[in-house]
Amino acid sequence: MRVGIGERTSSVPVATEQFRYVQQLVLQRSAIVLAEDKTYLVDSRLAPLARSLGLKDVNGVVDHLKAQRDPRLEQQVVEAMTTNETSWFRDLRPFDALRRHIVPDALKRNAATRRLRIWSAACSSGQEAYSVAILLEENFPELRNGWQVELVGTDLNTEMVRRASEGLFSTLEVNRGLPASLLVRYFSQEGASWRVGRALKARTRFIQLNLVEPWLALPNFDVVLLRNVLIYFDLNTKRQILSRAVRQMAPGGALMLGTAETPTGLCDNLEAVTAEGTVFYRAKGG
Amino acid sequence: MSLLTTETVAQLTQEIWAALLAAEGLPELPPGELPGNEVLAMTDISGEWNGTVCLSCSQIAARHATCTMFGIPDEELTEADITDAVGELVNVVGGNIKSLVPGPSVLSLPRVSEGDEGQRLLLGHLELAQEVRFSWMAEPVVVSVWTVPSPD
Amino acid sequence: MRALVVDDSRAMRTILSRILRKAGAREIREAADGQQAIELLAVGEPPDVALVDWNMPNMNGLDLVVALRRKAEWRRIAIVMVTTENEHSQVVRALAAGAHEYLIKPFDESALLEKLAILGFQMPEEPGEPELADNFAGGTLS
Repeated sequence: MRVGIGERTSSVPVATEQFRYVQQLVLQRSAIVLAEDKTYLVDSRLAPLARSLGLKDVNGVVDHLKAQRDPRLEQQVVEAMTTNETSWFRDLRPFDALRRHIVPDALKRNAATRRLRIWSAACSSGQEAYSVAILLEENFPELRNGWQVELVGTDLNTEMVRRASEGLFSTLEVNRGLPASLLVRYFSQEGASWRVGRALKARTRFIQLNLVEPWLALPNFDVVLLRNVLIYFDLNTKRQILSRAVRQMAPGGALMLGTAETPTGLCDNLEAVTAEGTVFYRAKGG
Repeated sequence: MSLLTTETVAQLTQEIWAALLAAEGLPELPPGELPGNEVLAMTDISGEWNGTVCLSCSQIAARHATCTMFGIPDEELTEADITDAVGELVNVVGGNIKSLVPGPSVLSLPRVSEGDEGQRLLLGHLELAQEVRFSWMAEPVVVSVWTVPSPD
Repeated sequence: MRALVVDDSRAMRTILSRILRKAGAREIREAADGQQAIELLAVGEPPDVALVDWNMPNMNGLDLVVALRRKAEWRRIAIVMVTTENEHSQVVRALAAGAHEYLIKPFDESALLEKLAILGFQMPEEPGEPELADNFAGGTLS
């Protein structure tokens, strides 16, 4: 039902049946569980989609999906529901651990190959990956001497991958956790937005990857950042993703989870290392 | 290539409403007459680029914004509170729009007035350059940028 | 934590004070311009953090920052500029004048809290679910 002239897309909340449809779709396509009390999120996240399609309300989006196969719209709905906001140097202490332990260890181990690979999984708009890039620039100038540094960010959401690649951030985004001295050093201003400079772009690349689908074309990494990603999956999926992530680690490599996350009960192959008030993991016997 | 477009103004406005008023996703309003646009706030940009940034909305929307920013219930609002809150909103909008136009330039203090006539009188000599109209809490809000008409 | 909020908008001062209270600030003083801020600072203990707007009458924020850094008893105050001035050169000027951090308007609550964290202020302990922010469509913890 299209919006007539003079009418506007209303804010009629999503009906229970339509909400269930969205829950199912999101679960099927991304293995992410949309909690029961998140109907308001469906209302706010799908409203712009309803508007852009000229549909009467959010329920109209679901009706549309039910009436015909529309893979593009399905993808848009899934992406709208699975976006999250990130900040720079999230939780701070893990970055201290990177700076003082994990990266120095990796540099020692790779002194012969002179190659450093870091993976930011579920990277969203790229803040985590670029934060690591800044950390490397600020603290490890030796990397400029013939080292090959690869910071790979992956995300399910193609729009996020595009945005991360572009590296253009709004005021709201740069405000969140990025020290002002680093903002002026590594970004250039474009109107009300800020663009990452060449130093950061040179070492980063972003690709689309669905963690619950086969991981093609991924190398082994010295550091795997899987922070605040697993919490949104069910138990079996968590186990699968974690064990696959461990297989993606180079010998002696490190895995970082979110500060409230633990692999206990999910993976037996990891041993915890405590440093700088935070915990990271290495593969056992590696 | 100018950074000041309807799209960038809309994007700025969305961010400001999200940050200061916790509003996510503001539906656009179609063109046409808008009822109840009684409150008008404006700020001037002067220098390398000259223009006026306006925020107009209904009394109800102005009160909503004031309640949210001050964290007080509607019954406790004073006229001075509303003037201050709406003035700060247009100040933040204007400050961000300033970064989209050539500099250097400065932002004036905001001024807030009421009544439909205000708009016509204060902006009569200017030309509408960009306008973003949206619905917030079921009330219309308009952010517009006005410039001196080019001598043609 | 003792704080000083300097902004010519009462609404903005209210918003900032509210966030500071959430961050655990126990004593918050407000001033409408740099001059008033100087007068307030002459009395009582210096604050631990000052949030300073740039464009204000009587004495603007940049001049206030310079004044704060010049006096020995005020030099330990952590200064965060909170302003619409978002030019790269302005941020550089503020940092060069002695501001420790810079927050561009519009900012949200978590942005200010994160700036305070960067400056080393401990947030009050908060029990409950970690980081399952409202803005994320998630998830059953299993």
